[in-house]
Amino acid sequence: MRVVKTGSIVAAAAKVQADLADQRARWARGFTRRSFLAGSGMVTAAALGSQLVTTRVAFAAAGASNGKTLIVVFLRGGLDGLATVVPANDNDYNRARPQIGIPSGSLLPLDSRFGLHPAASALHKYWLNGNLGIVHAVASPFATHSHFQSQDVVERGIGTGSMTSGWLERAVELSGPGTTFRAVCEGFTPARSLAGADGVVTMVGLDSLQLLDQTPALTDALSKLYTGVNDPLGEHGLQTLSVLDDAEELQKTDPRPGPGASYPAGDFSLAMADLARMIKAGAGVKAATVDVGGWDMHTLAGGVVGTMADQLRAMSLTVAAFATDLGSKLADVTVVLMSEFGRRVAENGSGGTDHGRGGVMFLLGGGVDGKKIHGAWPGLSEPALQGGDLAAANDYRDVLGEAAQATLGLGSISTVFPGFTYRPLGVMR
Amino acid sequence: MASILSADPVLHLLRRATYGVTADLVAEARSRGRAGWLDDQLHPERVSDSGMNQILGYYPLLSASEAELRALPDQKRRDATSQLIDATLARQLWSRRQLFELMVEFWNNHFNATPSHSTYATKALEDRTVMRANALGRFEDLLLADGKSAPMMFYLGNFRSELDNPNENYGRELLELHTVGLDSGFTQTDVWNSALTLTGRTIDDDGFFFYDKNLHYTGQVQVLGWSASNASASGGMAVGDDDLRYLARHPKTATHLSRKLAIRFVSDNPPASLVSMLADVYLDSGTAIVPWLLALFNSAEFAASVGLKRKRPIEHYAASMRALGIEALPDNGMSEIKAMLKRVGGLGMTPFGSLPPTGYPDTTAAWESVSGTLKRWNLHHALSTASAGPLFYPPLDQLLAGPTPATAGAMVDRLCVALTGQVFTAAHRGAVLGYAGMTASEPYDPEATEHYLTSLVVLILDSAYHTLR
Repeated sequence: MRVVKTGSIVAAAAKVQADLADQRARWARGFTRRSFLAGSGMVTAAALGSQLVTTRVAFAAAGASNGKTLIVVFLRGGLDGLATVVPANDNDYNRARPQIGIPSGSLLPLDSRFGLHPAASALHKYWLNGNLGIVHAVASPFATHSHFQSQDVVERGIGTGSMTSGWLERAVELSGPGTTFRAVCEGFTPARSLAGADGVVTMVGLDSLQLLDQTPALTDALSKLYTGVNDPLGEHGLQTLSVLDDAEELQKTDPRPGPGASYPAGDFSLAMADLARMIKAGAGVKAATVDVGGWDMHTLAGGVVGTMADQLRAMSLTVAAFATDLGSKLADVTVVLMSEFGRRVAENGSGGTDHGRGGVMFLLGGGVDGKKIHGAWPGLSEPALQGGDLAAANDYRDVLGEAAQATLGLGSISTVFPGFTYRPLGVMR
Repeated sequence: MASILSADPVLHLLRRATYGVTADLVAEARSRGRAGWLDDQLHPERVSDSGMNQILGYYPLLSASEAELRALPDQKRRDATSQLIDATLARQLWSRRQLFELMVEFWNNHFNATPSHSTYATKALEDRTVMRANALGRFEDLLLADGKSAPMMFYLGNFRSELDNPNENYGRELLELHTVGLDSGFTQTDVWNSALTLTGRTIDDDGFFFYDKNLHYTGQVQVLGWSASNASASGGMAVGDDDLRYLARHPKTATHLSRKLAIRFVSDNPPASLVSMLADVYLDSGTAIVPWLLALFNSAEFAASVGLKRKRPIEHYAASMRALGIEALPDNGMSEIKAMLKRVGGLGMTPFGSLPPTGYPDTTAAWESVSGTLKRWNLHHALSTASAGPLFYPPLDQLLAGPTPATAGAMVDRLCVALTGQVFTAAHRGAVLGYAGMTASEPYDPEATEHYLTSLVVLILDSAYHTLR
């Protein structure tokens, strides 16, 4: 008689943990334990966060998480900050960008110096209500004109050192233990800034966490197959099984966006809507990353209309839909929009711009000191430029540091940006 | 502690130099011998590929001449690229010239130029005349050919790079990604000069490459240790080619490419000794690719790297299909490949689908994803239950062909060897057996095996033995 094993994954996981004690320390951390939930059907927000806990919460005080979320959206390719947050009535700007400059008359007013690209109008409402703040002329002093080198130093949050971990990974570690979903990379591939975090979950949406014909016997066999593998893959396989297990309850929550939220089509929207769903369910997401590609516009970027305008519009509509979706939960969320560098002040001969230095960062959320353009503005006069680029007048680490500190409730962030003298700009309230 | 993967040199080579081990391939390589099999793969013209040639009959635009492609009406141009993408997946799955296909993918990824509306007519031409023509030739020829590729000139903006106001994109990535690499210490001045040197390399109204001397910058140019007076616009192509030859043979290029090749075939952090040896071989052979690959596969570092790589999504997909012997049904005119592309795209990777100029990443950390792992497990389920579209699925009991196994353990061993080329550890075999409530020593029970066969196959494919390479 063939008897299908019905041993629960709890027992299997406990054994597995013992077997893995000598696996590489980096990978052996943060293995999650199933916490069975009573009941079924739609789960309310309050229930979930406190029950999906990593093992380490067992020795940490309840409420280790402050219930807030930091989302870092990386606009890959080099966002043209000068086409996004545009110097108004600026002769240097107009001279540098005769074809693709955004005319001052078409800008949505920000402060006395700048206006917003009209295609980003969906964000303007959040500027007006004080939830959107901006930092201009911001960069890493260690970035070059290379996308890949610049993304690498920015995401690792370091200078020339060899530290391999990411800045957001260090921030989330500093914030202490949390739930299975405390660190989430939305996308097919993890973001460098968070990839090494303890138990990080890289996923393309909550509903992708499904296993066909799932039975206890199948997950039991898989957990045994991923024990004793002598490769980090073993730990990953076991993590996958425990995430699968914990996702089940979250998947019972309502996937529909909140009232009035209408996301445009696209992967960015899918990612942000998914994060909103998890945040509203109280899944305990502390840090999350989302990538949006396509900002490397060397050629025919366009002006008020065109490629850049289309891309900005789609991005803004998604971010605005996310804010609407969250409703009052926006108070507990900070979204940072950033890129690896800004673009050259002068347009090139192809109706685009080449790689530059100072760029723009947006911060959206209830804790943001909004309706302000923070930090120094060096201007676009010839002597103020750095090799034709907008100067790096502000250090991106001051912005990220403050966003992380305020959102995740951190004390000193000296381990997040080691060796860096942190001088917050006041972007958070 | 050793990897769970078998250190058998033939299996190790096949896991790395193909899109997936099959029982037939193992038999073939064992009978030919490791060295002979590798030698054949490095000389693909010796490897008969008649089955593949038949499949390629469904993709006539792959062999179309430039004149024929120029004559294509606008709405048909997309078909040329679509046929290329379909045929690339088909070749990875079913061509017998497996190492050649891996190198074609490697170079297409190295010189990534994502297809777009403006390059639909020329992308397949580039694949044929740039990548395939030189995949196992010399890097210098490959670089020179890519420097006349319409998709590359379009993708990195060189087609709009003019005179003394160039678009830096191609000039920069040529240095950073295609040749000497960031570590070479090139400066912004080098980038600017690189861009100036290459002005004039553009595309015509039909989207095909041409050199427009009216767009070429003239005057002294210097890139790293190379310089030219670049005095005439009509001589600009020759000056650019001279620059490309210099870059192809630069020692930093040798190191940069050797490291990338070693990451592809050996490990995520290849030993410096290996990179340096490969760089020497590359330079000594005048940038020839065959001796370079041979040196890699015959190195001690390669031999010591068993189990250190994981399959990327396309490799994982292809290996699953190959292990199960799944084929296209010719009656459908290969239409099912569209569904296959959708499925592999769901894993995050398709042929020519990478957007940034780096191409797809090639390290474990870059692909580790909980969703990705679940999707791969679900893929095994779909393939093993013949529910992944209208394909030819051989009956799973063929995996047990041969003398009747004496025990349940021997039965699982045979499945493991058929699917992954090797047996599992006792504990992992026990995990598979345990799913069916069997023990290793109990007598083989054909009825129970039949009942559980699909699940056993799925579990074996779900295991780390199939995921590592």
